[in-house]
Amino acid sequence: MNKLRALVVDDEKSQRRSAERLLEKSSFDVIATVESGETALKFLGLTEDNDVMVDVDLILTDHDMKGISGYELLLKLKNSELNNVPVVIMSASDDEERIKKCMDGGALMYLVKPLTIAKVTNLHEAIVAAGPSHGKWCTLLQANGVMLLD
Amino acid sequence: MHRLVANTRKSFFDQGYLDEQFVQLEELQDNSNPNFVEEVVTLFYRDSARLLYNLDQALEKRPLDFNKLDSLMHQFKGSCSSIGAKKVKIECTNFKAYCNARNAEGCKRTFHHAKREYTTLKKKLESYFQMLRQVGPTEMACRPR
Repeated sequence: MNKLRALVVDDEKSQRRSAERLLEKSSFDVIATVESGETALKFLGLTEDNDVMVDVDLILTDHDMKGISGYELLLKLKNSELNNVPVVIMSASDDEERIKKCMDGGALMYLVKPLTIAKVTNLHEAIVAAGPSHGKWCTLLQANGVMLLD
Repeated sequence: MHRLVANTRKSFFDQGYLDEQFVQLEELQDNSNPNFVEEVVTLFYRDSARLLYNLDQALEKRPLDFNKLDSLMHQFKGSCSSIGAKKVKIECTNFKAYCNARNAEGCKRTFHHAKREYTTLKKKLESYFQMLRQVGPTEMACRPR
């Protein structure tokens, strides 16, 4: 069975590395780690200068980042062709209003940092239980100006 | 040497320098990621230097912006918690309490304490990792607290 493909977004390198390793330990294939929401959108093929969408099963993003926040990234993703891809927010804050806002915004889960093996294992189970995301099997091809959905 | 490494590690927990999160990092280390803990700690110290600088700058401003100080310290505390830096985290919590109380002197004092604990831990961990490199990777196989 193919591993679930994950993208990690966090503006601190130590946190990206930890999250990456935790996800690997939980049988995810971490396809990339990026340092901002803007870079994430570009990587995912959701910007004007890069519209080649990436096959991804999970986007794990920090909430507090320079530039657009993890919450703002969540809203942009839910308003995009990747709206079925689970987004998980992580934050050192356990503020209930923030958690509710993120869950209302469409987050699959909100993980309070620091991340642990147990928390990420729960995440893997939650994604498997949620079923396949339609977005991940869309591959955009352009041939002679025609968009082909695979 | 092995016993020295084990005792050094144990002392970090006994003396309250590190908490369970450090053990989480150790459990992520394996043959394909043999220096993971040292790697993450090194990255932490690199990342957090910027946060501390921002806090230093913010503490120089007059009047103090306590909301900004709280926000900056929240980030720093979050980073510290990711490697299990327990004593540093405690000082961060104290700092945030002084921020909420709009107590400038308290903020400066606890920030000084936080930096001291941060530097102390850095030196201890550097020595520890150096010892680990000398004994080799087998030392990480058994990690009682």
